[in-house]
Amino acid sequence: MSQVNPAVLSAPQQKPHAREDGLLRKLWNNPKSRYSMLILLLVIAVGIAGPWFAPHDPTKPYYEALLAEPSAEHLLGTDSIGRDVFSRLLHGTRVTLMVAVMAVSITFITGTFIGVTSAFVGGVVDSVLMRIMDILLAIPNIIMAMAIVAILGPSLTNAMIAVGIAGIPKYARLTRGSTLGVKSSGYVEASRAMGTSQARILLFQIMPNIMSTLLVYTTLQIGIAILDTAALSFIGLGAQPPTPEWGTMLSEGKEYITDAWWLATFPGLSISIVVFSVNILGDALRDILDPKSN
Amino acid sequence: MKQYILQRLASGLIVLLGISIFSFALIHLIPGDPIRIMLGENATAEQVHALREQLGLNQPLVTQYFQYIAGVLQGDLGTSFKTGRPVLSEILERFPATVKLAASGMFLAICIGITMGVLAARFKDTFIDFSAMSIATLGVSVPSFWLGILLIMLFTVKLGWLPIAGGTGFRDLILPAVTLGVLASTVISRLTRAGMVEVLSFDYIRTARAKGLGERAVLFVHAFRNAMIPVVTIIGLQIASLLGGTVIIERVFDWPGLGSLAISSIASRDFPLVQGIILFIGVIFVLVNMLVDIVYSLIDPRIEVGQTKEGTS
Amino acid sequence: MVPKAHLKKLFSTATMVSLSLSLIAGCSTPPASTPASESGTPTTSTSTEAPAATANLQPKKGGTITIGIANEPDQLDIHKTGMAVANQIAGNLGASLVTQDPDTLEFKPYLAESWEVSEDGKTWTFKIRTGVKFHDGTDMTAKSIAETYQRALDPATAAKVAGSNLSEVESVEAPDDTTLVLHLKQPFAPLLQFLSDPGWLQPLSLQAIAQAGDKYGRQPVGVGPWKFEKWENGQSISFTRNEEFAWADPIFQNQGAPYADRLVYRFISENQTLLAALDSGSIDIARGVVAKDVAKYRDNPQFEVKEMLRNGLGLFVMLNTRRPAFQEIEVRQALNKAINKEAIMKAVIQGEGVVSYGPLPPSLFGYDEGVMDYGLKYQVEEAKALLEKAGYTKNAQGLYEKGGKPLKLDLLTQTGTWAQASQLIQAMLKDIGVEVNIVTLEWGALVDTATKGSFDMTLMGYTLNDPDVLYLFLHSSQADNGLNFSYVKDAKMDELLVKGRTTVDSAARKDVYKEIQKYVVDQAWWVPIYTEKQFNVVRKPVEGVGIHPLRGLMYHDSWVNQ
Repeated sequence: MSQVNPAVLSAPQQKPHAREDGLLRKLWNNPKSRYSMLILLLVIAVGIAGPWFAPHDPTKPYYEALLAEPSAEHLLGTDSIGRDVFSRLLHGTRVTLMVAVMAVSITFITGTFIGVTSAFVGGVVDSVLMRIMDILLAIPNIIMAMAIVAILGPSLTNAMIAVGIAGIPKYARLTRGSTLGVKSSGYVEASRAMGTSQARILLFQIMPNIMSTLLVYTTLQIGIAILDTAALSFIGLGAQPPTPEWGTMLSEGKEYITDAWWLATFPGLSISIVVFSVNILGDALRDILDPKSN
Repeated sequence: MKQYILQRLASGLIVLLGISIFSFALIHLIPGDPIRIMLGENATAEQVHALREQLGLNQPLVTQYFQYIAGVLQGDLGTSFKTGRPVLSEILERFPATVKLAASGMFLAICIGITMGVLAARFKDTFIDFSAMSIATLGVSVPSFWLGILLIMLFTVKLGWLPIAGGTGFRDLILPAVTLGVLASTVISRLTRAGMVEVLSFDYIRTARAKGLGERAVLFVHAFRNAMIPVVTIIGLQIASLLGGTVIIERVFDWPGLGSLAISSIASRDFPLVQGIILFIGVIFVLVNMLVDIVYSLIDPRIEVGQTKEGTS
Repeated sequence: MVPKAHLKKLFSTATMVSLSLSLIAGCSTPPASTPASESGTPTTSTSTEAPAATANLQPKKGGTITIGIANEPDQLDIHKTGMAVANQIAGNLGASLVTQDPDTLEFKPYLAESWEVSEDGKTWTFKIRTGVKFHDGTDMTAKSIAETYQRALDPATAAKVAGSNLSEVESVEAPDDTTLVLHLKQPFAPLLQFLSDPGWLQPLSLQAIAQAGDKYGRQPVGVGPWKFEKWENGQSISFTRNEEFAWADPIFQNQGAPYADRLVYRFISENQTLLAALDSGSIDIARGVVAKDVAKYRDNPQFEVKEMLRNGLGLFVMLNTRRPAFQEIEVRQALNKAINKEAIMKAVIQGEGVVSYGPLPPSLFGYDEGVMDYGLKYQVEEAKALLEKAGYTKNAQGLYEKGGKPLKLDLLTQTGTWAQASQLIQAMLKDIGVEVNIVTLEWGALVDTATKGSFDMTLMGYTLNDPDVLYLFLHSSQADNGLNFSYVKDAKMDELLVKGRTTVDSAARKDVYKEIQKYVVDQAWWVPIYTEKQFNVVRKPVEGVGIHPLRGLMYHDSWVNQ
């Protein structure tokens, strides 16, 4: 028996690896995902190094240059209290990326845990967990996030937590679906029949096989997280001043829509470019990893 | 069929129950003593005690919950801290504006989405397809509030054609409805395209084409009708999620709906109102979804199989 | 459900255009005295030609005057609300005992045909005119007024502003239908000032209140030129002309019912939306237009800009002396020296105002120019030195700390122009090594939080036509549930404030406020920042909009030229 085991197991274990080997290459070969990857790499680079290149302190007001138009001194102009918009955008990149990654981590870890538990344990646990997810799904994402911020109080950290939590129900459902799919597949049934422990099945068979679906969804979730956090900040429930967050900048810019076009234009453009690239990448990943789901 | 509907109703009820618990829990999840938050540092012990008594917060949680539910069933969602008026009347006064906006947005979304989807499928793998699908991706990438601001910049500030808002008339409705419609159309256009592409590859379409039927007839008489089944479902589901989408748009255009009310109630820490809005939106969402599912199962019996597999598990 | 008592929303702020706007800055008259000298800061009204032009035109009846305003009142039961905007709107429903001439600032008879004061200044007897009717058809008599004031004084009513305006009144009686007697606890200088307000102290129909019950706040009844029509929640409040109205305020040309058919207040919280509504003609009058947007209306003959300096400090920071850090005068003074008022005024209101160094603006009685010399000026190095004197040292992050605890302060603010000001203050304090965390709240929640004392610093603004406003903000009796958010409990301050409100002689009273001003600056409980000009824009078809120092815009002579 034990001699047969590895042979049976090798198939499912090989599968994800084989996929991942070619993944980057496949992404690179697709022009859409290549450009979006390049853009995202650039954005990440700006997120890491941007603050060092920022020509000004993002929170320092220049009283002599209030609402200054874009110029050599202030590349993208200044805001109503004379802060350099370009520097704020650069610093904001880091804020936005960090918040999105943290929020998605919350979604990913909790959502995967709930989804896998639900599918794997089944029975009452499954029913209860999924019913709770249904309940949470019944409240639109942004309203849910607003409710959480109402409880915790408005701040960037709380907005991040709220967005992370609001993403869980959908994510958990998806994970559960994929897990069930893998669980009922022939090789898992086979190895279970051969007495492989539940933990081994979970770790070495199920997890690797649902990863591709999760990767697609996690990528798309990053875009959603960026949008939702910006939305919360826009309505004043996210980042608090003077944090250079893009959504907050947009909301400040909206006040000066007739006086200073640059205030609302650049942060909005930044959000759109980043989220657009993330979404293109997510679509490409889906085409490669999970062609059926499109 | 009957069984499916009953099942759907039962699961809907359970979700409603859950939402009521969630909204009830909201006020108890606020860190710190809600009474202290309401009364502040100057409050005396007697004041704290009196208010606690008055609000019934000194009773066991379960009792409080049942009192809350009993109130809710009689239409009593509590009283707004800010205006001292019943929460339900505050909500019902704002709700029509939100429905008006969401319905107009939905109408535009359907028009835009289906047109784009059909065009993309008809001209699959051409520039038209590529542009339509890029626009669809762009639609889910652009923040709704930014699109709103851009539209204001163009049509109000630059061209002066439309008012920014400040009312609920037809001219005030155009920009927010367009913003909402464009963003909501993306899902519909993607789905329409996928459905059409699939259907167009079916045998009977090929047969129809072989019989010499005109392209337009093939497209609209045969393919479109069949491709629309999943689209109709998603439209039903979108009605509810559009209600969520209006929240931010209402803020951008100063539209006096439920979303603006939700935002201002959080900013003014009017917890009974926040609680009421969450409950209300949750209930609407569940009811709409339930209705869509049931109506849909009546129209197309095939759904029963698919839905029970996914829906109840 | 929750007692309204803790929800106090008094006086106005930058975004809440306030109850009393002053056209004539400089010295306003103390109540019941001769007009003060004409000295002081000259003020501006760009509309000098407009009245002349209007005079040639014959006012026409009909039409609707729509006023766009940022804030919506919580209710219009003037005893239950504390919101300035409620007073402003409810003023159209009511009338006052006396009226104040907008030019001479003298008090003249209105609902009271005459009045007498006893020798000790404690008994005021008013002779009330007859023939005045409430909107519900019942007669208004001296008894109605007495009942109204008794209701305002009844602790069960918890009347915030009306109650505090009458706080020195011990009892009210109406021996007959035309005689009203107020017995005061002590002489009260601002009394006539308060009685000239058609908002807070207007006569109410107790019968209508009893009939409407809980709903009264949403269907108010008064004796004024406008009758309540409807309230569309979140959108508008509208009034219709009171056809019966034949007891107009003598300061108006129009002594009959109003010209327009309807008067509508539309609530538009977004500034840009407000302007768009004005441009498109969907409102006729925009209240509280911010400085940056005014220029384009000044040059446009289609519009008339009505501007005036606010009757009160537009922006100041209140330091919460419950906090140990602010119990030290050095820390309070340090913050005063760390904030560059000119820069804030330039950025936030485009310099359209005056910088403030003391608790009173030039537009209020009792303001003393000496404050420009002795006020605490922007001096970063001195600010740091003061903090070090108080025992603070800089830590590794460059922030001041004491006993290992960094000086980290919450600043309450609200959205709009205050948001900018708070960020500038944050940046300025960061420059000296003090970290500020901005907490943005809606106005109601801000006042609520400040009342509860759960804050370190809060932005604030006030408007009132009498320096006695400082009693409300600084007297120890107002510390626990009043507007004394700074929690000042100072015997000398108390004594001065009481002297200020009981000294009826104008010159002597002026000296008292001179001393108060100096003392408040010395104690540095507040960081005064600026007093702004307030702008209202009227669109041309509407003519004859007046301005009054207490009541702001007046619509009784207004008509639609169409």
